Amino acid sequence: MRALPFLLSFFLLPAPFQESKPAPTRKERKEQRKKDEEERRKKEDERLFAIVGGDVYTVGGATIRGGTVLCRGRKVWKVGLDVEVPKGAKVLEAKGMRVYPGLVAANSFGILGAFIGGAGGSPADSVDPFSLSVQLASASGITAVYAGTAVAKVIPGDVEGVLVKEPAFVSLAYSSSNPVQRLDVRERFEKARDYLRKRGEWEEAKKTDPQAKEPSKQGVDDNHLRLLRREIPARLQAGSADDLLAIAELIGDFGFDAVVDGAHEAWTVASELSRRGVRCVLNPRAKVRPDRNTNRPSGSSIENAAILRKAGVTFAVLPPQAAVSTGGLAGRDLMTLPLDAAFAMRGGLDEQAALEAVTLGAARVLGVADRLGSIEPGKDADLIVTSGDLLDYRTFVEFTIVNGKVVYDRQKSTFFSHIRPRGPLELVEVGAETQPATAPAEGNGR
Amino acid sequence: MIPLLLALAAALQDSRPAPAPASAPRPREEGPLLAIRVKRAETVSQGPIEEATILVKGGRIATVGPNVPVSRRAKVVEARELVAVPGWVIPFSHAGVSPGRARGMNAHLRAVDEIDPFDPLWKKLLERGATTIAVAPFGGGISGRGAILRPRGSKVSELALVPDAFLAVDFEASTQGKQQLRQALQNAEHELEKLEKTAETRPATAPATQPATQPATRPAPATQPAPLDPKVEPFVRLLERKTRAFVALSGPGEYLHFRDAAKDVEFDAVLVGNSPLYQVADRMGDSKESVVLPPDIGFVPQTRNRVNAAAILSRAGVKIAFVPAPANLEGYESYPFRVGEVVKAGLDRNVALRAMTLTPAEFLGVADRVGSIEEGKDANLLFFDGDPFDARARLRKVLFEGAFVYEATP
Repeated sequence: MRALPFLLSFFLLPAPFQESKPAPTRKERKEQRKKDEEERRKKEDERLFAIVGGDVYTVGGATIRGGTVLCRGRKVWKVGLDVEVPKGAKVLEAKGMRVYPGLVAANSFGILGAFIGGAGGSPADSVDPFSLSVQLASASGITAVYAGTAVAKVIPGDVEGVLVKEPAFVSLAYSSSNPVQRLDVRERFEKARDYLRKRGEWEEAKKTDPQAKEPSKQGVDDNHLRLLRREIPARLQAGSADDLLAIAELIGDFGFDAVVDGAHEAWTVASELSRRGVRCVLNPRAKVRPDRNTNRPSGSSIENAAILRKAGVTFAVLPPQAAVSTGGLAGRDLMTLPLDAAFAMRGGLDEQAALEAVTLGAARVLGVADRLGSIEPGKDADLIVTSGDLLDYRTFVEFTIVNGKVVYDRQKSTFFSHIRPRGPLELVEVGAETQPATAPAEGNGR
Repeated sequence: MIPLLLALAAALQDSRPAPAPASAPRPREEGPLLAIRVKRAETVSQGPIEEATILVKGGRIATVGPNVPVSRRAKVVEARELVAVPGWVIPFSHAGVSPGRARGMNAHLRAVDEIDPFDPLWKKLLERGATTIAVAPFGGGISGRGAILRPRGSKVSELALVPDAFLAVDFEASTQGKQQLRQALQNAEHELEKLEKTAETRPATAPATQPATQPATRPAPATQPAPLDPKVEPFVRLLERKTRAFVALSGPGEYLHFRDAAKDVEFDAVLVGNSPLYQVADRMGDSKESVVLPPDIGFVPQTRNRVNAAAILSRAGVKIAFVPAPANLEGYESYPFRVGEVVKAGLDRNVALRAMTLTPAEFLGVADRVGSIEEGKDANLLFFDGDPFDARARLRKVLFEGAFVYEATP
């Protein structure tokens, strides 16, 4: 480094006498890169994509037969019957097909964070977008999942725009059969509540007395503080009525938001869960025998979802295995997520609510309903185009769209293109001089 | 002249490496004159020359051409049945370094410090045609600094063509892995900005010391920046474009994560990958990436459909270099034959031969010395008794810096 001043003196001195334009400096190149990136983003935000002619099941609102969904950038821009598609927009002709919001899986294992066995931290940093499970989940119409601690999108072939919310929950364990654990949880909540009360008092006192002493935060669990402030919900595992009631009681005592996984006996305590605002993630096909030692209703019920709906409980449904697994029995994993909504219908749930249970309801359970779960202007352009009724066992997802881009086309898939081939269907640009002929709409995958 | 000498002297004392990587001393200009007559010289840089004569002087190629006048002093080697190609340039390996280091930030470690010049491996590699070998330290994360070796000599300094040639990164797509890389690049950016600021504020002709009248309370501006942390220094040089990074990737997903982690800065990177990378061929082509690949035919994921990643990437505009696989003697022995298989499956033969010689030399920044049969380059030549990619052809002789170091037993 000692040589630097000398060396610099030789190179710097003649500089003012040079006429030729100097090569851009590092700083200039950096600014140029920044500008390029901004331009790319801007272009991305103005990208237009439309799905035209399909029956649009918005889930959030009315169903529009032969409607148009126009997306701008990553968001849905306009939805309706007579939406004009501007010049330059890429159009997917979906006549005879149905358009739904992308499916949301309220829990998942092994889909995102596929590198090094899911130990890679955030899915945004560790998802393998070329992995089999990502490809298959997307082929099954899933556009977002809860994975690890985050809500993230399933985007085959890309890692940009994956993260939706992280962390989405504080994990809690609170079981009716473990008194020590319950005592511990209650203690933490009490400490956090005390702290909040003292802090509130201190903030009041500070107004008149600037010397007031700030309360100590020592021994106070941050997660519990955030729960009490309702900044984040808790996520708990509970199946039996005893466990569910214990959680409802805990919420009654301290006041926080909670999502419960399992909840097979929720139908027996639906009104209590509704009163405490408990959100549930359930499997309509769960099989738990009734308890013979009790004279109250117990065990699982196919009517679980329908009863919860009537009681006003927000819920999502999941298959018996919240993973993509082609190894075991078919129809038991995330590849057939809508089938579980159909099973809930078998138990009396109406169709609208069944659709919600895998879209908007799941988004509400995950706390991301402001962005995901329904086809509404301003929400993320995460959509699926299906060959028919989503809840029909023969229906295929034909296209999956995430962030306004087609990320899956069944006809280009290694796995499903040979089954009742639909024929190619290319995106057409509005106003393009030569419009390629689109495939006949009849027989879409049927 | 005198200031220049002073500067040079100062540069030599310098604790930081000089801008151009310090190379091992080149062979003497004077020396025995050698004329080799071959059936064909695959020059790589200017295509094949039939019935060529290659003149070698002082360990370097003096001339190559079809009608080269040969001086009477020259020793003539008649090899009219043989095809001459440049010696293989191996762009990435862990040859001769100790394995098993934990994942972490090891930018200060140098592969050259682990090299044993008496390791019989070097001779074996040389006899299989590897005349230039890049060696990277083992270890996940920031593995350390790689060296470029000429595999012959009895001292480490003789073996090391460029002792501090590149920064080896074994990238991992995880929060920790991406954070580590981002942080290292950010630190370097910060250091570089500091260096640039001191260079700007200091007058070009400022005296080295401050006047004695300077008030004691005012902190004297540093006359020279403190030496950089050896863990930061390679990253600073990376951003200054004075060195390059060799980044090992496990597949196309990691490529996207790497580009995401490194998007805020600009530096030269060579990606060491595998055949699944064909899935991001378009993006890699758009970014004009440089990729090191094993010469093999991969599969379309979840199928048995064969896919020629090298051909797909090359057609997409990616610069490719090959590396022998598996990384053992068998892999080096069958190296040209395996590349031949890739040629059979659709890769352009010229691209393939270049991918074993001149392209890796360019990746490593030593294309001025090795990689083609060209005037002025080191006389590293391989002589095959046929097309080097042909299964029937055998490596007959290896010329290393003007000396025959291997001749096959008849």
